Amino acid sequence: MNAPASRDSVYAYPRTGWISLLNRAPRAALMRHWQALQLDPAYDWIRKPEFGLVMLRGRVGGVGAKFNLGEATVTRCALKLRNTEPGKQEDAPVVGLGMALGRDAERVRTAALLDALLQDAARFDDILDRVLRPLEQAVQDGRESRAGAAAATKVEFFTMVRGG
Amino acid sequence: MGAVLNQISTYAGFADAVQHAQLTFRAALEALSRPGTIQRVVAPAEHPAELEAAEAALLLTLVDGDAAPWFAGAPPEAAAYCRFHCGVSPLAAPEQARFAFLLGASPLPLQRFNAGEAELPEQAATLIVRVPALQGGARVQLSGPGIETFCEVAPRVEPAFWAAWQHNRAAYPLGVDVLMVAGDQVMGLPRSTRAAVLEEV
Repeated sequence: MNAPASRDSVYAYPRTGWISLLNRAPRAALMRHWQALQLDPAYDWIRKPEFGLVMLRGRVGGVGAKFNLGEATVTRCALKLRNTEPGKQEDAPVVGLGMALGRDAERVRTAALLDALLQDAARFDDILDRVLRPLEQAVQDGRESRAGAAAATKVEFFTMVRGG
Repeated sequence: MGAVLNQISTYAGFADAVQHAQLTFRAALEALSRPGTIQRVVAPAEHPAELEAAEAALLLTLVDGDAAPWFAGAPPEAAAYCRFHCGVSPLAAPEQARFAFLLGASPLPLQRFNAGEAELPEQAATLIVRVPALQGGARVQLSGPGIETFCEVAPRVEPAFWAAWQHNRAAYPLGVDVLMVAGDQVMGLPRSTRAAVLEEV
């Protein structure tokens, strides 16, 4: 079904883009699509999943000076795929990164494995169709349902013109 | 961010980050508390070939954003390892470094490093000096705090080092502290230690 990816299709989707998507997508969807791939690549940790804090910063109304909103827990990890192809040259190993809000080691491990596998041009198109595209849809659906819920509570204020 | 993604070290740190860093810290503490004794650190799971096991272990244990290191010769993989695991970029110049990794470079004059100030002597640099071996060199007699009477050591270090050490000792309570490393072994030489060369090799 999938021809090997052209260089164009790999570079049309930047790595920062898929890392962002994998780590923001709903957990259930990420795990479901990952398990459907039925991949079990061998890997070694560079940094085991660890929990930490990041400072969330924002601007009121999206404008004005930044302020510190508060801290949130994050989990991050880094791993490298083992070179399992016989006869393949020892290159720099492929590194996958995961970093997501919350304390969920399994989730960042999955995101990091997908990040590493997506750097393989031979696998890219398959994972794009079976994981990234569905996750984009899931993120979009989540955003719309939140926007819908927020819109339902919106209150419109009118000022009646008196005596006109 | 793309540039940052390409700077990631592919070498893992300690197999057990908390335990092994604590054991290595203990080894460094023992080394500086009992000058002349040879201590062993816990080697990280992996480290760049530019670093010896003890250097990598001390880097992971001691260096962080408040204690930036400097590497002689600016080795690229050690810099990436430091950025990734310690969260700080190595400094370009040695003068402000809290930890200086000499990596076997011909010893720089010890005066080039931060010897602290009268109000803040504890801010002096700690030098990690790589030697071929901690035994088998010229015999040197050490004395001072942490040594009951005298002790003899024989690290294979250039004779010029001991002459520079006299000057360092003379500046007490200012001056640098030294950790000599070979493989996974560490020997401490705090600024309070007096050294007398017994024989030239």
